[in-house]
Amino acid sequence: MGGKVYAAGDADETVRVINKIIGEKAKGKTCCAPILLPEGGAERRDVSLLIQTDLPFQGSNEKLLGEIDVGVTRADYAIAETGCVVELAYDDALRLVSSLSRIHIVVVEEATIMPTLQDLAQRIRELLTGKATKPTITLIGGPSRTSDIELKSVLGVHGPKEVLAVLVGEEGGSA
Amino acid sequence: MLRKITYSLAHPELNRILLDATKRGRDAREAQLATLVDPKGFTQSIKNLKTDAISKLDHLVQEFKLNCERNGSTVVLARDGREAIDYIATLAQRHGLKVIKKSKSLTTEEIELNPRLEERGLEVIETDLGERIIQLAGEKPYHIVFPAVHKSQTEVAKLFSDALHVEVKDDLQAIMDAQRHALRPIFLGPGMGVTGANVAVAETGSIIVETNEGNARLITSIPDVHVVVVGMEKIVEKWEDALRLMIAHPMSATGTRLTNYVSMMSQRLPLAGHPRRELHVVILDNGRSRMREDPSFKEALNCIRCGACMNICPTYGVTGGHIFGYIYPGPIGIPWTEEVHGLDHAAEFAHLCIACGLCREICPADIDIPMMIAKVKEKDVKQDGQPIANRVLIRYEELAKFASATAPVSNWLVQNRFSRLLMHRFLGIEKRRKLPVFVRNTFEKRFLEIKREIPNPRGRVVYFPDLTVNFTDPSIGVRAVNLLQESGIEVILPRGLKSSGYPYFSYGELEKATKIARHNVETLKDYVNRGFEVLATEPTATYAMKKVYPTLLGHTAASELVASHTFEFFEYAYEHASGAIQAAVIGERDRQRIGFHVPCHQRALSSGRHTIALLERAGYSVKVIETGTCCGMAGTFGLKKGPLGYELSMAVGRQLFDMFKLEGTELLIATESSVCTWQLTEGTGYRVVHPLELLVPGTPA
Repeated sequence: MGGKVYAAGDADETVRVINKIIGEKAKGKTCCAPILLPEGGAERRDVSLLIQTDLPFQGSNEKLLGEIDVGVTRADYAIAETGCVVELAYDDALRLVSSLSRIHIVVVEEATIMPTLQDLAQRIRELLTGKATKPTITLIGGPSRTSDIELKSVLGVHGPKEVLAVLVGEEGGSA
Repeated sequence: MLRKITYSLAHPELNRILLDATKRGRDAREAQLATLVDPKGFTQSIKNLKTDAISKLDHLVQEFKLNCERNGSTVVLARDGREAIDYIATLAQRHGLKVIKKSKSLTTEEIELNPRLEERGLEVIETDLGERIIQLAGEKPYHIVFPAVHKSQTEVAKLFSDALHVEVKDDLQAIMDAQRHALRPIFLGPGMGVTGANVAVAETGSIIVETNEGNARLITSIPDVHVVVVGMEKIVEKWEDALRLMIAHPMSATGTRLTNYVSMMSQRLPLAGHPRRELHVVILDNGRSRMREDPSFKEALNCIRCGACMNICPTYGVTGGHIFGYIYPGPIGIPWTEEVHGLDHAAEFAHLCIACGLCREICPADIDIPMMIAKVKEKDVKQDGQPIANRVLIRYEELAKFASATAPVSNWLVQNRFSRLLMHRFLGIEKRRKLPVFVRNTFEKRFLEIKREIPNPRGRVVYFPDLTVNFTDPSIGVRAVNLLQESGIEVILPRGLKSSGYPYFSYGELEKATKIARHNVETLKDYVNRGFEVLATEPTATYAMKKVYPTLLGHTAASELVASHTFEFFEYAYEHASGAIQAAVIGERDRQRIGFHVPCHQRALSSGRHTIALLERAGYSVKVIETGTCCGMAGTFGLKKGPLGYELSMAVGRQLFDMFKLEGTELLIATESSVCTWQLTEGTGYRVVHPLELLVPGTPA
């Protein structure tokens, strides 16, 4: 992904890892989109309220999010073959949190990793067929970059200069 | 045009970055392709899905439109650029928006959207870095993937300083920070977002935009009105196809696995709960429906806009997109320009194509670009006539016959400085180029002396000598025949075979090329039916028979039959005569170091792997030395005088010459193409031989 990966064993550890990163790296305002993580059984809980933030996610438009420095979001899937995460957005504010920020922290559950990009086809079809609201699906492969000048690669043109993934699952817990 | 080429040839430093860029593109693509389990199968799947989509495009356009409308978007079918521009301008005015924020889109370049919107008082801002540079410089894209690859960092810093009225340091990070800082308020401010689409998916009415910088994400999320301009040919049927293209685009374009941000949008989302936002989809025809009806150009619609053909094209590599292009640059730019902008614009750069055929080899959708370019050249030649040098060189066969019959007088003429000056002035044949020496004792005559009856032959072949073996270098043919006969293989030389006719193809005289193809196929077919295989020692001849004749002849059964029974000499020798081949002694040294050059047309065949294996088996140490593109000679192109021939040809070859020279002077260069031999001899000063001069019959097996 061209970014760093942190591991977390469960929801609580995820919160600790994210808050630690924010504590070390934030230079401005932080905003966190809802992060629903499993809590034993079929239950899920939104841990975003436990993240240190300055901007509320609900109701923040481009004017407010224009000041964002660190954005935290949850990815719905990840693709092993291409090393990218898959973001499903039902409101463009989510896309702004992951694209206006200087540092993007993305939470990925191990169980959502798919082997190949082709595996996504059927899932996309289900998401977009027979539903009134259809998400914008974004593959995110790493920090914003360009090689437009003399083919030299530079990060952070318009979007994040750093993308940090927090991988949540049983393998985690060593961060 | 000529002035531009002369200028660019006189300033090689301008091309250094472009040459590096295109080479990096080729190398990275090859490395990335090698990570796939089945690269050939992948290319085939891209070709299949595009061919399939184009064949049912009418239906897909309707399905896509219907699904977009169900998703709540507005869809417009624009017959041409003007309809698209009118719609977009009116929409902006209706919403009272003065600023248009754009992400990179070739389709909007095609219709020259920006200047037309500016004429109507709208401010258009390109947000992709490369496009922004081009916009500030007032230029057209130089390359479709790297539009500003010809601008140095220093030039960009100066452009940005002037445009932003602040000092921007000549430092990459400083330029990035300036760009980010200048564009943030524009992203966040009012305005309408306009993007292209890399793919559109009919089954769900979705559009896909791929960017590395992330600018398209901001343009498609913040503005209340987002307009997508999508070329009709971008529509595919289903998501499986779209996901395949997502891999094919970056793999062929930059040799990366995936574009950094791939946004797949199906309807307008609310922003912070604010719901009344609009998505408008403009489906652009602009000649595409007509292209679809034209069997000669239909395949151009399979183009996925990766730019790989630009990265391998030898003459694009030294001239760049402002010479080798109108709006669409590079090899695929020739048919596209002809179809959407007209023959006159395409003819400006079509003749820079030297028919090396490499664009087809690299194309991820296996588009027969060389054939479409030949058709564009043909249209132009019919309209405007052939330049004198082409008229001379295209009749190379007649010239060679004449020169051979009148040798040594003809040789004295072509070596004589005064007559060379006349040829330069009046025939357009470059005076600096050493011309081959013609022989009276042609291969056809020599063959009668060496032909032997082989009792119970192990194989039977027709040898196709082509021009140079027959008139200038019969010894290669003699060696080939001896080697085969020593291995117990019967060799015949049918009467009445013509040379391959490839020059007619390269210079766009397709009727003549087709006539020769038909004649040779008719002649060879009878032999193939009697169990003969067809062999040539000249890669261009094999390439013509296997890859060009069938297309010229509409894939008749006879042309496909001959193609499937035609082989490169060494491909056949490797299978049938390899036990009986050993190293020839070259001067004082055998077991010599060989620098092997793969001619362009051989890349479409074996890439010389049988030849190399045989040389190695005979004890030579062989190293393939290549830039991944052409040596610059390209048939008779390099014989032509001036910038549009000899000089361009030498400029293309320079990188390769240097690579050979780095190997040290004791290197012997081997290549199977006669014209590459001329070029490498002249460019490196080294001795260049045909591999047949290095291998002789051993003890018969």
